Amino acid sequence: MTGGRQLGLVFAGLLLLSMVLTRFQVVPPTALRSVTAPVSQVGVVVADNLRRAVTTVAVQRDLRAEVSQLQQENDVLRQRNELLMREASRLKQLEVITRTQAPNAVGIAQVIAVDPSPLLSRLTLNRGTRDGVRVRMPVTVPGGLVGQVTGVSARQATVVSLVDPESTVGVTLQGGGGGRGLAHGVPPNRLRAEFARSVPIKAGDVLVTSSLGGVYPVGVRVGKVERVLPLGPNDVNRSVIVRPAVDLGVVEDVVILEGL
Amino acid sequence: MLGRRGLGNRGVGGGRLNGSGLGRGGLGPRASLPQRGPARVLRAVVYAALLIAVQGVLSRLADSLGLAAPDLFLLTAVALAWRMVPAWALVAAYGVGLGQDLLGGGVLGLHAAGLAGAALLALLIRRYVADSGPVQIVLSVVIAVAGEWLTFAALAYWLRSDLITVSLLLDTVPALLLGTLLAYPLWEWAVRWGIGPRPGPQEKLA
Repeated sequence: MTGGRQLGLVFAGLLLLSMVLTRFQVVPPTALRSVTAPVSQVGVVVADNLRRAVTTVAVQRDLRAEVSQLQQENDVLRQRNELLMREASRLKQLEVITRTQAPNAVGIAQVIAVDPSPLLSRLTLNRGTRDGVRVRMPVTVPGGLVGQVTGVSARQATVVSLVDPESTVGVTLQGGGGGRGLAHGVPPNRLRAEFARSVPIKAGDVLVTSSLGGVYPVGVRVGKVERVLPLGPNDVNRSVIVRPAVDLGVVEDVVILEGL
Repeated sequence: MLGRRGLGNRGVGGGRLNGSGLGRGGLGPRASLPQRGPARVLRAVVYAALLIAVQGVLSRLADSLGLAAPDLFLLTAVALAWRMVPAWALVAAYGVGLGQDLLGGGVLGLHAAGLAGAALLALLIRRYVADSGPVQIVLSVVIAVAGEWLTFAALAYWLRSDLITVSLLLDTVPALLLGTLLAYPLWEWAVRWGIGPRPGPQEKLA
């Protein structure tokens, strides 16, 4: 018998055996499977852990990308939030001013430049004639008066602040204490106000704008009396040093009011 | 001729299975594989455990990917066909298939016959393609897969079962063939360690 024939016979025998086994649905006893179960379980556990590890790495990569994207979005939203907060602050400022100082506000402007001279105190605003700004318009913030517009171009306006030596503001005591006075700017950051001798002014009194001069609305806070200068024998007026209500060095947004 | 001796002589060949045919080589020099004894048995047992574990890993991973896993049992049958006396290689492949049936918990005999069919065709490649390069490897695996699935088809016909469908053949067999081909070079290392290196082209054929 040749080897090929023998091989065919062996295969035929094995195939026949399988045909019988499959025809009669011979199932291996469970006890036999339990022998190999631990080894099979090792494979399953390893595969599951491997798959989880790969999944975890992939998920971590996705999460990292997502975190990066969210951080970028967060930065954009923070920036937008900052802008909106500033805008809200400006609108709130405008609302306060129209409620407490004057209802005829032209709009909000930003200080875009300041005069570098230590003897002058002038601000440049980013609003001009295109925005309805005109000369002599008062400029305020909720804390008090800033100054008035003295020069205007199409897109910009120059404001002479209260402490500028060219500034003159009509003032009076807050609360109707009587007496009109004039306050001049005293660089770098004070005003000098002069009242009639009969006015009972003292340190700590608050000065507000008066109708004197016809430029500013009445009752806008100007500053607080810091010191009362001693009267000389020939003095006609009483002079006081006034600390402005507004720190002009930090003002960013101001409100421009319609002139009287 | 695939063999000149009768099957009765292969009974002695069973002894040779542990002797000159498989008792040489390994990952290192051929002489490093134990000729016989507990060490030889231990390697076979470790190889079987490794086969079960790695096949489990691959099947589990492939299932999660929706693919067919490489058939390491088939590669084992091919390896046996390359290393053993032909008739005993068929029996051994059948035994490996029975082990696969046992692990799967299905009906005994299906995979056993499939691997016997795979080994039968692999023996033809061993006989007629003497080159031991990549062409022979690819041919061995392709022919073995074909033999296995032909046997499956024959059994399915015998059982009047719709186990083998056209869609199954189109979806599963190409992926299985590709995966098995890719796994072959790596798994050959385990085979060389557990079973031993291939004999020469004309060895063990007589």
